[in-house]
Amino acid sequence: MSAVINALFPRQYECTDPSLGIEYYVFDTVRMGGDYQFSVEKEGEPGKYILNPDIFRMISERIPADRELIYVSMFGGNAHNALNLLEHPRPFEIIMPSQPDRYLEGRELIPYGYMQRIIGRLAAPYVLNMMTLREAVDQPVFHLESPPPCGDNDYILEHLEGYFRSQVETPKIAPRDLRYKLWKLHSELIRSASEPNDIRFVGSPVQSQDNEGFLVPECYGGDSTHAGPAYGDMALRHFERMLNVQYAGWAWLY
Amino acid sequence: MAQHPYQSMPDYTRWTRAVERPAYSTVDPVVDFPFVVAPDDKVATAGSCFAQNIARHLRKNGFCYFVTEDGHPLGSEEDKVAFNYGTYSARYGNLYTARQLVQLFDRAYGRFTPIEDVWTGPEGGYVDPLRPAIQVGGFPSLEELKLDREIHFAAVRRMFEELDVFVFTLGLTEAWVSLEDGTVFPVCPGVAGGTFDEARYAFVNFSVADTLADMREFLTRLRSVNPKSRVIITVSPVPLIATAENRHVLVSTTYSKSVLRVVCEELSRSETDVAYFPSYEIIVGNYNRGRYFAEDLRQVTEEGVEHVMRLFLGHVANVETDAPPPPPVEQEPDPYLERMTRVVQVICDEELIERSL
Repeated sequence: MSAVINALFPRQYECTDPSLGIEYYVFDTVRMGGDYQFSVEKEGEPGKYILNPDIFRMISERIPADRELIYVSMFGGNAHNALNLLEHPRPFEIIMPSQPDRYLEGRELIPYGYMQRIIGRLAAPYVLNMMTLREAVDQPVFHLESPPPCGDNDYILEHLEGYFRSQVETPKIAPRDLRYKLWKLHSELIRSASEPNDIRFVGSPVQSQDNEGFLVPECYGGDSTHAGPAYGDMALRHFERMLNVQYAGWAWLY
Repeated sequence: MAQHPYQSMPDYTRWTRAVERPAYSTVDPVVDFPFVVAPDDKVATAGSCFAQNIARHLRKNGFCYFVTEDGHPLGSEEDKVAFNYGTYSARYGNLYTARQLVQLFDRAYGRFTPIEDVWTGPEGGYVDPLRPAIQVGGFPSLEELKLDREIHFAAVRRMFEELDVFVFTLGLTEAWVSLEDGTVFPVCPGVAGGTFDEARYAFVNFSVADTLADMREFLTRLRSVNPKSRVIITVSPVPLIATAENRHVLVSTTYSKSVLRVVCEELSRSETDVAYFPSYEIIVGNYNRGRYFAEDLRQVTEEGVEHVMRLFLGHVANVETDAPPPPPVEQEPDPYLERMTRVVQVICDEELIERSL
């Protein structure tokens, strides 16, 4: 999300008529707060969640009524980072079914399915938001994959946020391959939640990844977890090419 | 008046006094259990489904339930249950027959490798034929199955070598074996993986001699790696769900349980540090008028399990059974995961705010 916003700020319009291009209305996390409840319990139906009706108030107030709408989800995308930045006291490893030879010895093997459940639980609130969005609208819904991980351990250590540093005296970074695998597993979980529910999963642009699947350095975001504006720009242009539309501006949604 | 031995026998030897008259919940067939399990003794468990109850209650009552393959702490209790971590002391699944127990030992120590060591699961994954239900959907790759199996064997070796007390519940005499090398499968090939082929597999119904020989083989092996180990044997009261013999399932159940009960008697009378615990009699005994079986007349009710474990703890572990049990040992959420999840949520929001303004 931050990569996209930082890419939108300096971007030049490619199309001056918004009705002919794509105009982004980005949910204003700054104004609305990071703890905004996108999904709320439906009145009178405990346990049943719906998209926060306030979102539709924002849409009707901010977006001209004649615009054709599509919805783009970037909910979550960070769940795997809780597991793969700092080394766990019981260092672990998983085997990806698609790349079974990519395995580091001397670490505790966690069955792939067991790890799916762990990451699935961490991602569940964000998947819920995707689903309540999907159920709330008739228009197409897309989900943009979260950026691939940085493969440079030194870069991460140098740019490790104070929050991570405060956790341990000498931060130790989890192996780069594990970061890649957990990101991939997370993406596969989100894809498998999206596609059967008529949410189109949009993968990261190929040019944002090196030949091992890690984020290319020009896309680094200046910290340990985020991609930068170059990545946001690539992701948006990739999306626009897919839809065959030109960029026509952006505004906050609040 | 003529004297005879029955006159001086204790009450528990008399049906009227020990079975007919007492309230069913107070019937206690455990007499003179030969050793005590201390709270810090490492107790390992294996066997048929009923053995899971013993494991659960040992843990619940604060005993040192010895688990050598516990599942990574990132997983929740539900994850561990789904992947059979902690169901038994290591992730071997149900061991219904004595032959399976010998086989487990031999596999773990590299003495035996089945010719048939991988099956395709019913849902398409790969399955270890000797523990086919160990995880839902099987293993997604052969590499994971093989590596997981090596880790499992190391955990089994550690369990046998370090345990103080091994509780084994014998469940069945019926099994399916490979005609190629005699491998015994826990379930019939084709049920939880593999494909049934009568040219490759055969049904066996082990006798007293077979089962006794297998148990003796196992005890010899266990003592070769752990001479101080003590063994508690029990018979599962759960009847057969189906018999492969062409006869009534009740008849087959009686045969199987009789064989297993005789084997337990033979072993506990002849082997040092091997004791029989009568969980079978507590559940099946007619004094409870069938109360300890569920509606299906097969599954054991929680009340029945509680009766078994109350007597187990009282006689085997010298725990005051009237005293309230210690608070159950519950898994603490992984502190690393909690901390990191909070951190990731915080940095995500703060970074976003910082860069957007």
